[in-house]
Amino acid sequence: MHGKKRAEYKAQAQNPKIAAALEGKAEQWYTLMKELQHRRDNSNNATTTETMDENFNESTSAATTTLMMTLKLLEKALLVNPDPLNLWNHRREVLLTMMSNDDNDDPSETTKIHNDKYDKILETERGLTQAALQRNPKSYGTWFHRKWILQTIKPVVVEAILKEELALTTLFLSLDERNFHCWNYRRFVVACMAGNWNGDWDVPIHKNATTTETTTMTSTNKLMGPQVLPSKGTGWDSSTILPETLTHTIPQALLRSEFEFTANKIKDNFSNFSAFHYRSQLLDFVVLSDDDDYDDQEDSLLQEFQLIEDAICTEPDDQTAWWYHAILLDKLDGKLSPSVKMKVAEQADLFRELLEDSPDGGKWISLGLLRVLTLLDSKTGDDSILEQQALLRRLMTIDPDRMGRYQTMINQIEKKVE
Amino acid sequence: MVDVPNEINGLHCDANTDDKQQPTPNEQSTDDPPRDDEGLLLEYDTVICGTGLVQSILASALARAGKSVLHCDGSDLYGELDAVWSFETIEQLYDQYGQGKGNDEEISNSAVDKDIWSVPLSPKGGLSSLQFHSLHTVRYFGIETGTAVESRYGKGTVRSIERNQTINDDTFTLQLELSDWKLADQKSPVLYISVPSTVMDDSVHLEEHLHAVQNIRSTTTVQAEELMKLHRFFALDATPAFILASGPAVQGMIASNVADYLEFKAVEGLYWLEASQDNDKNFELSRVPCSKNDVFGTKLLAPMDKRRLMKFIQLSMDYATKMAVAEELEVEAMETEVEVLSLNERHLNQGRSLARPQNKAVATNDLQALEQHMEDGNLSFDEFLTQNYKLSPKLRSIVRYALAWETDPTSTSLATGMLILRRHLQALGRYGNTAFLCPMYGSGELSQAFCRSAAVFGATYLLRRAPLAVQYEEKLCDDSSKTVKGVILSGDTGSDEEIIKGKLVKCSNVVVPATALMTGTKSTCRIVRRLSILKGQVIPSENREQRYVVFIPPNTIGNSHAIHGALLDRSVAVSPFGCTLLHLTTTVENKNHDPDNILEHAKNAILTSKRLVNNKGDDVDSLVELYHVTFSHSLAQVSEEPSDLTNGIHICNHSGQTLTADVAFEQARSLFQTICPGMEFLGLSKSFDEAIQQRAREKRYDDDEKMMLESALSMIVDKSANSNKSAATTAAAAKDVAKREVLLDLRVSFCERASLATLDVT
Repeated sequence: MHGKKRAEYKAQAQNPKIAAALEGKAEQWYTLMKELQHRRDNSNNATTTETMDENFNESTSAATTTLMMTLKLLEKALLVNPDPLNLWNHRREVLLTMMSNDDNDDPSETTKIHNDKYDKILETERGLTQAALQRNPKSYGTWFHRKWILQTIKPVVVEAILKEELALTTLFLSLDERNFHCWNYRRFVVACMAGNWNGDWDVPIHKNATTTETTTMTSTNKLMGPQVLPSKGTGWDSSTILPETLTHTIPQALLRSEFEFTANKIKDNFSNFSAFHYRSQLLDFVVLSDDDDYDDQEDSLLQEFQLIEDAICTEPDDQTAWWYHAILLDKLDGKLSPSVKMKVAEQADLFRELLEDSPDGGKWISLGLLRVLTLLDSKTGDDSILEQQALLRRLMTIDPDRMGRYQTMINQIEKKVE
Repeated sequence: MVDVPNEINGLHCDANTDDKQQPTPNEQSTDDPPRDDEGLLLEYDTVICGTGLVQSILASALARAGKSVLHCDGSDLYGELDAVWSFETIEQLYDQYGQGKGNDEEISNSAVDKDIWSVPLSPKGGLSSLQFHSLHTVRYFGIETGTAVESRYGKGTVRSIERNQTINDDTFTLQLELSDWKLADQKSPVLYISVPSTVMDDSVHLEEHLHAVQNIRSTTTVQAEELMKLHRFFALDATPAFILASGPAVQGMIASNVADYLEFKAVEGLYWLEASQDNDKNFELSRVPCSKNDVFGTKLLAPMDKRRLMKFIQLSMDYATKMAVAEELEVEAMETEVEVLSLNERHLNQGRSLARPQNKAVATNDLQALEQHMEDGNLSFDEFLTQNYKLSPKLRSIVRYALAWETDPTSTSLATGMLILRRHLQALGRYGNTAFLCPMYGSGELSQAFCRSAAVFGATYLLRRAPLAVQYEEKLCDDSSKTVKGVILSGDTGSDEEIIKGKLVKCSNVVVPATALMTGTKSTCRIVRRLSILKGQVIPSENREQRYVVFIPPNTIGNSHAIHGALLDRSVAVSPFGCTLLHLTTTVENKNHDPDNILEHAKNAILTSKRLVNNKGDDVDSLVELYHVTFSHSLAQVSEEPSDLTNGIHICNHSGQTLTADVAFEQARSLFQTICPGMEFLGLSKSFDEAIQQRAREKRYDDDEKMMLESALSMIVDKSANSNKSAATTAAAAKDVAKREVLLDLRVSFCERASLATLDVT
């Protein structure tokens, strides 16, 4: 609807011909919804009563045709409007019923036929979700359904399919690099690939997890599926000894190519929280990975700092890079090699210069400088404390909404000095 | 491609017969106006001399406004200096306008009596100041040790060239390893060729000799010859022009629907040539940072430089947005239409190329300061950049020459600089990475398209009939002593050898190119252009397409003015595969300057420059120039316009060294407004507009929604009908299969739509 004048668009609806057509469509949609609701109610009742039917075989074949029909109706409805979650839920119910039927009453079927059947379902669902996503690339239900079907069916030729999925997300992200649904799905696919690498399906990668056992499914896990993410709390800690088995099973090449992918997306448009977020998750595996050559690691750290500086200097008011900066400093956790330390000190100077350049603003610059100073704190001494306090006072005037927070921070510094 | 002129060629052509698409507003109804034996009207509203771009746009606008227009040109192809040339045309023109030939001052126009009632015009029209400096096709690229060659025994490589040891014998021996053959020992045979020392002075001479004696040539030479044989694939623009993605040209072409005749592609990037920091003799090409991501990604600037540049660009963007809103309000006040794009919508149009983050407000103080300075007029553009934004000299020259397209080292006024910068920024983010669109099949298509549309609206076209003079008459009722009476046209031989005499065509307005006027002082300012055909691609790109603009700031290679370069290739259908056209343009003020030399330097600097983007070497090595032509023409300045001219004579200028054709549109608009005050410029007729809207409505997107719903409902109905007769299951199944196919089709249409959407985005 971009670039179209609202008045013009509204005037179109006034046109009796168009209005009638729209109304007709709404009418059709309601009929379809009614029919589908009816079918869903019926099947819910049927599951309780129909189980002990006499003509078992005959009724199941009839039931299957009904189910197929329902699937088709749902397909059409979802292609018109992929947003209603109840339609997707209905679809999943139908699919599960069909699959459980197959499992129960076809013991004679060879596994190959069985797999073929599942592949066919997978293919249909992938086709449907893809078409639906092309209609609305930000539909929650569709993305979830796609994850669900992959996890439920666990295809046999996993690798090829997952590669296709990865390519699909690349395509979608080339059209809209800020579609967080798609980023999320991509991380799911990568986690599946990584899990698959281990010969398993469900294992989410936890860098510092102490065992390879499947972690308990948390609510996030259920909603988002497995994700590439470092385990919480420990952060970058070289003292933690990783179990040999896990470090080697993390597919480094894949993670590296993902890291590179985020770099490219950031190059296209650096105001992209999703890309930076993913990048920060991957940092632990790629830049801060323990296997790495020490020099290499230092180099890539410096590169990250350069990336942040470029973004900040281009647009200091864009929060994205500042958040990434904060995350990176957090992950460093006070452990600075001399050259990294020098870089951080240089950054302090750059931020000071930037701050001078923006006389009546610079909230994010001040916060960034504050972070850098805190990190460097141990050695620089009193001057730094004074500067930090000045910054906080400045922040209190620029950003009065968070005055209390800044006051607390000042108090903390004072306490520390004492 | 280059032959479009023939479509409305001929001695004259009332183009209604040519194109039945559109009834003319002044449709020749039952009472046809009287015509002479040639079929011309006895009197025209306007006679337009020359088919340059400005004149062509004007012709189309006037014809649409219902004026009778006669458009004539002494040449036999459209476009004057805005034409697309072929090799043959260039050769003909070189014979005519080559070095030391045909200085227009010497031409006396005997056909016309000189008196106070007539102003003579140069029969060459817009081409009268054209001069060719050089024309060269490279035939041999030279043979040295290591050169790949082709001989009558197949391909090979020169292994060595050595002087023979014997004292009496002053010859060299060239060893040629024939790689197409293998001997029993798995080595290739070696051919020994004796070469006299007289041809050893340079590699080209050697190749010439070897070609004559042994039919051995270097592979590059053979490939070059193959490429040059594809002469039909070349569209050589006399004046390469881009158009701004959002500007008067786009507006004009959309409003007039002339855009239907044309195709465009977005320019991929702007590049900047500068001397390397470590060595003045080496040059580097790097991307001009003009969008936010360019600035973010560029390695050209230090972090603080990035900050300063962004700050200035964003100020300019704020200014541009403010001015655009003001303009719109003005239009609105005139048209009493209450439709203004919201600021938000405008930002969407500009994409994310420069927009600030949502939480950041416009820097009002800075904007006010800028406007104050513009009002005062006390600062030049350069001074403003230095004083108010502390931009380094390098940043300043990037802003001035690559973003505001200045050419002269003396800076323009702040107001002019900001005006052009504003135009540039407003056009960013519409299509692709840059603000420019490039016409396919050469920029000459633009003038042809407008001539065609003028013809559709009833203008009469006469080629090979040069206007020779403008005649005046006295009008007693008027204060000013003279008004235009008509134009004297030269004669010509018709197609069937019938001789057509020159004659006077009556009219009340005449449009003539400034250069055709033989009176008035000649400008010392000349536009110099060099057109090179290169083998290979200059800027390495993933899609292997070349659509780039190159800026060379003054004093980089001894150039007094900035040089603009355009790199174009097969992707816009101006060259065959494997070739890139390099257009270089500069302005020369001093005649003593050797224009040929400067652009030769510029070409060498570009070809030998280090390109910052993934330099892979292989293409760069094989980059050679196959052909070049250098020519220049004078730039008549607006101030030279004789002010004492009579009513009814209008002067147009060639756009000179401007990158975009938008200047021509503006000139045409102002001319149009003097001839037809108060009328709409390049408007589209009502009926046409309705037809287009109808077409758009028929293509409504949600039709497939309707189809989908209908098929779903039909299934429900089917089901209730079928529930009684179970026998029909097979039929239903068959039906389902059919529907499944429909569904698949729909999916395809979904995919297509998605790709359409992508196109819209890009």
